Amino acid sequence: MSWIRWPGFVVFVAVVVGLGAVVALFAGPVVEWAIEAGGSRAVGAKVELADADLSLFPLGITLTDLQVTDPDAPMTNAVQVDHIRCDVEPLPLLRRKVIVDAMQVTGVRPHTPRKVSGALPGRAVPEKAAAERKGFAFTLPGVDLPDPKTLLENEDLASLALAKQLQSDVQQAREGWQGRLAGLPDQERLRQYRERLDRLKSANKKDPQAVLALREDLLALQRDLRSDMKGLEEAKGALQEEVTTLRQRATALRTAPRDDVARLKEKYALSSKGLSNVSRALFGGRIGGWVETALAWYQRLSPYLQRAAAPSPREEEPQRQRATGVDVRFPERNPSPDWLVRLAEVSVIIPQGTVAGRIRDITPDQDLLGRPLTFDFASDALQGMEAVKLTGALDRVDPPHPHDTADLTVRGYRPADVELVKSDELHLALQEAKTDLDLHVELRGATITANAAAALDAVHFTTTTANQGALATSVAAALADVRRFQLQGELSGTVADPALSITSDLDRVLKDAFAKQVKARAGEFEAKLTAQINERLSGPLAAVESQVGDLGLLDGDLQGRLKEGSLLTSEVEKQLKEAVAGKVEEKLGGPLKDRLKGKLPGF
Amino acid sequence: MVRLLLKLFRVLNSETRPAQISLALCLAMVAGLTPLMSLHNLAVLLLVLVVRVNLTAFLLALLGFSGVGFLLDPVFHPIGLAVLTAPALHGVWTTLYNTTVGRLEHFNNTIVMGSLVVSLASFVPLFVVANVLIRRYRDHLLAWVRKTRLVQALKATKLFRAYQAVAALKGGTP
Repeated sequence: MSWIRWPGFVVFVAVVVGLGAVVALFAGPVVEWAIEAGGSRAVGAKVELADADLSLFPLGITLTDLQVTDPDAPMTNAVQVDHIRCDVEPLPLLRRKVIVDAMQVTGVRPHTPRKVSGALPGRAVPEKAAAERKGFAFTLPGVDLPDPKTLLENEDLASLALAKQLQSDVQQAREGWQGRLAGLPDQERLRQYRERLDRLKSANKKDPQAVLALREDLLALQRDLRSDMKGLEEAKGALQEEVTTLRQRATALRTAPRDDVARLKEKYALSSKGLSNVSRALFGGRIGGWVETALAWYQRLSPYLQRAAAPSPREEEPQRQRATGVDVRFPERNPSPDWLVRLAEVSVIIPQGTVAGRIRDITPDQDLLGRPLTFDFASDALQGMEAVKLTGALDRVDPPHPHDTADLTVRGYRPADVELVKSDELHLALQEAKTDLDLHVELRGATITANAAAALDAVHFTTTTANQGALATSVAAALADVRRFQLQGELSGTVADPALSITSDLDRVLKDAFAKQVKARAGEFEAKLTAQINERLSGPLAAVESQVGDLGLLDGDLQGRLKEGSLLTSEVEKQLKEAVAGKVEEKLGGPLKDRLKGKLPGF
Repeated sequence: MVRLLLKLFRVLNSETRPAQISLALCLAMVAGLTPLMSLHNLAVLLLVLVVRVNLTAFLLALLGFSGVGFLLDPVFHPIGLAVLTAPALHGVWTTLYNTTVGRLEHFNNTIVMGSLVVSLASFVPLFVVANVLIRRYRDHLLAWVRKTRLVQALKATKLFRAYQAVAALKGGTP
């Protein structure tokens, strides 16, 4: 038996040709599926393609009606493209290189409505608008102040706390002094002293020995009295000092509400600080939304501009999908990008007309190509805009140090009915203006810096209000005369956490208008707040003053004891002098006096 | 399913040379374990069609090995990665990478390389083992299998009789 069957070769050729035909037949749907699946995965929302048509001569593909859903608004397409035509170089395909010499992208329309939701199944749609997510949502400062009575129900007042503390301190002092006074000589003790004195008065004064004993007793009585008097006097001094301190604290308590009023006014009422940047409040929400949307798309698309690092031999690929493996790259003798679009001619349709432009060198392998992606769009035939020009470069030639720039110049843009503020009290819109804008954006790695300067001329604001509030009236009056103003914006920080700063010469105009209203409302608020706090404090304050008064009564008690003690002391001294010096000398004469002199030094 | 079983028994029990069946199994292993749409599988297809191997055995084995190959992807990946990143082979792979055939073959993919290495390394051992097993089957088990109730039941089916009639017309042996 021969091992070779030559007819098999014919079958082989037939099979290969058949396979080629199948590939040619189904390449379009396969490409369509690949774009929809890969795009949806990348964007996070549905990417749909009406048709993908593959042509062999010349080799290329035409995509029709590409719709990329805005993941933040599933009923809107972030971008819709009518036609994309790519001419692919055939030979590089054999080396798995997709080189597109020319690409025509026509009918690019941002923000088109969708008939059905483009949200991916099982993927949550953000509830809030983009501008509201990262602190870009600004509103005009309100001038409606809270009701002081309601406000105080949720606020802790320092003055009330002070009053309670003082009440507690006075009560504690009162209890302390009551205990201390109980330990001091009282009327009973003084009565005992008097009894001792009375007994000594009736003592025998004829006998020299008895006189000596009397004198000793009187001196002992005097010492005891003096000791107790000293204690009473010290207590009196201390009590007076404490009562004075407490009275001073009670007096100070009367002024404590002022601090509470100041604090609450600062917290709830408007101050000039809140009015320092009205431009940010007016324009920040809208501009912040644009910034956030642009940065979100930049972050989504950035990974496709730079190839991920190749796996190292000892590093397991974490995101490896089943049955796909990992491609290990080797040095190429003539390095070239895996895919490259040399030139894309793009026409973007915006409400003002069509802006045409070119994007050059789209590839994830800029380091191999040696050139950055560059783009330039311009038009001077638009409605409501004299000219617009956008140029820039996404430079990943040195992958560790990406450097992207963009410059936008707009001349004579006439925005119409741009809503700036929409609240219950105020509806503010920029009805018309003529705008010149210069914007420069630069990204180095994750760090972003951007500067924008806009000059608005022939400005006309419109304000409408639901309840003809004072604020709206002030704003309307302030803006009625504004015919031109400058607006400056600065963006700094990182792509993930940008910081937006907006200033304008409108700030001064609006600040004056706001400040007048704020001042009037703040004064009214302050008066009501002070009255409410005083009312709340009146009870505790009266209680404190009464308690301090009660403490003063203890001073009277001490005073009575001291008075009685002083009388006793005087009497003891009198008795001592009278009994020992006068009477003895009178009754006993010189000899006893002489004898006593020897016994009683200083007699 | 019945048709497949019948074909399997027909192949095993026919007078087709064991080497023809074994070679078909080995080629099916290469095509089945490696990603089907690979360049080297065109060569396998050419061999299968030009060399007189048993096509039925090839197709049946291809089905089986394709399933096994999918399950073995986690094994092929580290093997392929080790082979592709081996310093000693770096020059070879670099040269191959710079050829059109090399890029079309997509050899630098870890699954392609891993499965290809495993299937090529198993090629000769599988050929020898399959040869031995088929011979032993025919010598020792064929008579017993023909008497089993399963085979008797299969032979009793109308499908088998129709198949037998067609095979007789073609001059084959059921």
